[in-house]
Amino acid sequence: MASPKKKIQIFVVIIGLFFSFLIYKAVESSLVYYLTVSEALAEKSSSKFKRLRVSGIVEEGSIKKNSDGSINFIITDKVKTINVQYKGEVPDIFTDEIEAVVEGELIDTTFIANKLFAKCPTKYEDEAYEESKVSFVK
Amino acid sequence: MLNNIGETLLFISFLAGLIGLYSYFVGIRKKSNLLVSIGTRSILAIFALLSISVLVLIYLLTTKDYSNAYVAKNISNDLSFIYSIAALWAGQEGSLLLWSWILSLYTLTIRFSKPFKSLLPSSESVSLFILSFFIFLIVFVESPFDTLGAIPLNGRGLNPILQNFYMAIHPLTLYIGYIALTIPFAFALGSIISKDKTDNWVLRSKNWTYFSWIFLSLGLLLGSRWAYLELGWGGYWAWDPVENVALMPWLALTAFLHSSMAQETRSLLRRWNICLIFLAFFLSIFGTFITRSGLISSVHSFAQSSIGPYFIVFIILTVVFAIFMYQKNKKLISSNEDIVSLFSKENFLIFNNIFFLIITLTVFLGTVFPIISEAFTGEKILVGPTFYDLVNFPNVLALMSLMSVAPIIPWKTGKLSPILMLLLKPVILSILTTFVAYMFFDNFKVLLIFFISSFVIFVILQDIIVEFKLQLARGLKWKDILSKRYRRYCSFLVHFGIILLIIGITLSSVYGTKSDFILSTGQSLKINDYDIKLLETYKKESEAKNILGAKLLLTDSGSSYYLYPEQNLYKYEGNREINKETEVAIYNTLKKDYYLILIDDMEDGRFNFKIYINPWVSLLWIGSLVSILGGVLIMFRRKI
Repeated sequence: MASPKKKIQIFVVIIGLFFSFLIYKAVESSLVYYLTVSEALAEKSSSKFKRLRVSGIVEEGSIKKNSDGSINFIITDKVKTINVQYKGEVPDIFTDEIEAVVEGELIDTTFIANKLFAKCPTKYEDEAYEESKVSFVK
Repeated sequence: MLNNIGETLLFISFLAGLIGLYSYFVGIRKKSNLLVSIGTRSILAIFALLSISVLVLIYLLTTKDYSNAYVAKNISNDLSFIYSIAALWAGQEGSLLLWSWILSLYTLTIRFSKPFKSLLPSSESVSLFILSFFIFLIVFVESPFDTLGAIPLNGRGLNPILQNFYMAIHPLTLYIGYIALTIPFAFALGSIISKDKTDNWVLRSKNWTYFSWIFLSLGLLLGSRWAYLELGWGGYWAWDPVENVALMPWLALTAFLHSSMAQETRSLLRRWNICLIFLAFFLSIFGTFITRSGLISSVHSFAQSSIGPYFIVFIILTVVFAIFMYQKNKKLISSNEDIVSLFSKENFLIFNNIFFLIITLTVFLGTVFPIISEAFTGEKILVGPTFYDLVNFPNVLALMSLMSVAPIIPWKTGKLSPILMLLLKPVILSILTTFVAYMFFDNFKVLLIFFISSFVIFVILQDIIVEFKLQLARGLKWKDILSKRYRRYCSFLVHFGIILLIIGITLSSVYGTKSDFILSTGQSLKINDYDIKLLETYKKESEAKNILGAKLLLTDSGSSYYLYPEQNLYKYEGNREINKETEVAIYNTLKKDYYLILIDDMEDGRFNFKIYINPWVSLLWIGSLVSILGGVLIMFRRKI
């Protein structure tokens, strides 16, 4: 008869194995690749990139409203551009020339997004403010 | 002028920190009471200096003195008095100052932990070391008292998303909870440093850990409520990195609150508890680091700065030191007793800890996955919400099962057969309950959760009823029984709240629906089993903003609700570049939340909307509050 401590250890090992396997499976089924615009276009043919998250700057004046309530816009990494189609609620800070992150699939040359994130442009670190600072200690 | 005073005060408090650390270091080694008392005084001095600094910054903020860079960056002329004060924690520098001040207050209170005088110097020195690091940051890296060469007429202003009731309290609540973890950490490390063999540090820490748990829970609750109300933050929980790093210390702390009972009662798990409290503290620092450094991208990143590298050095130094001291002295803290039976409370507490740690590890892995994958494969890969759902579901089931049995099982030698007898009635009743639920709900996950939930509740009820019958028969009064079983019943209350919370999460995520639709005025539409009609749209102008609003009538199974979603455009933009604000219209009922967004004016007489129907979200808020109330009651009693 094994001691209680041994039994606990055996339990722990079994639980550990089970969850390692579960974590592995869960990672496999929920992968999202995070790419830049150029990378997304270059990797388009590769079948492993089913679900993508692409970040880029929204081109000025590119946001267009469609009659079905969806919007189209172009994101760029200053090298290449992708046309994005998105339907749903738009974050308040989403506008021209901010960094947007879209999640969805790239079909031909259009990115069909079902998630849209916008990064806060005011990172509280404005260059002008930084330069005009006069520090006491420094 | 005031800026110079502020800078000077901070600089002196940094010097005081150095002097204090030196005095403690030498004083503890040479057992010099004089040096130790200098260290203790330096803590008092730091607290006084930081208090004045905080007041100076609040004064600068409320008088809108734009010669101060922090003031100019974070507020503007149109900002109200209350938000001008709240701007103290809207940006990096102010947050760090506030953080240091709160920590100095906590550190100061260590000396009032009377029953274990011998541990005081070492615990205080640990806390002072951490405090000095934060003061270092605000003196040399991110000073809140930097000045601007040219004084602007108006400040850049507070981001409209942050002009919100929740902004005024959510960060503060989390800080209070996070920082409170420093003290148990200091007690634990202090106990190791001074080679203390007793369980004193756990007993002294208990109130701090409850205090921290209450504020962290409240902070998480407020945060998820805010994210729920604010558009674009993905509902009450989105497994966003910033949310995750706030959750991890809570998980580790909750594990500790359970396992420390074994040390209090049976002096078991002594090494384990030290490791757990170390983990909770490091996770809180890690969370601060992730949130502040912007290392992992998040929708909640409001502050990003250069303090990242300093944090890494600080974390490594503290971890290495803590592990070194632990390894050196761990022989002193072995447990005297051993676990004798598999079916004992202590064993179930261990399993509680295992599952809590697996959840913590899962959340940690998911959060740092992009960094790891980029380091190893060169590709940035994220894991989506399904990752967390898949792994956490069995964990939660396991924890809920433990929640039913562990509270009623005795310490030491629990035998299996009497426990099974105790569980018989609850099992039958919960099977019946689940069958009843099956008439209304068809989802397997939901029914499984219902089964275990009702099981936990029936076990609790049975325990209470049996106890009352027995004690009333013995002639005890209701009040006496309640006070005799006070702690047990409080923990039942916490568990009951958690059960409600889990049911709320399950139902809202399984049965939640969303639909996009377009309407022109007067038009109505049938979606699923409810009707929605656009009654009118309006444009209003106030001093600060232009408002586009809509009035809709929603009819669901006989009840009608008016909903008023709005789009606001702020007139004064400042430098903040964000001037749009969507006001979601939410109609809360106990059973369902109607969550309506006015997306856009299509400019052809039609308007674009999105509606979410979230069932039973109310249980999530109610359950959390019940749990927190249970925690407050436990802590309140301990103090008396």
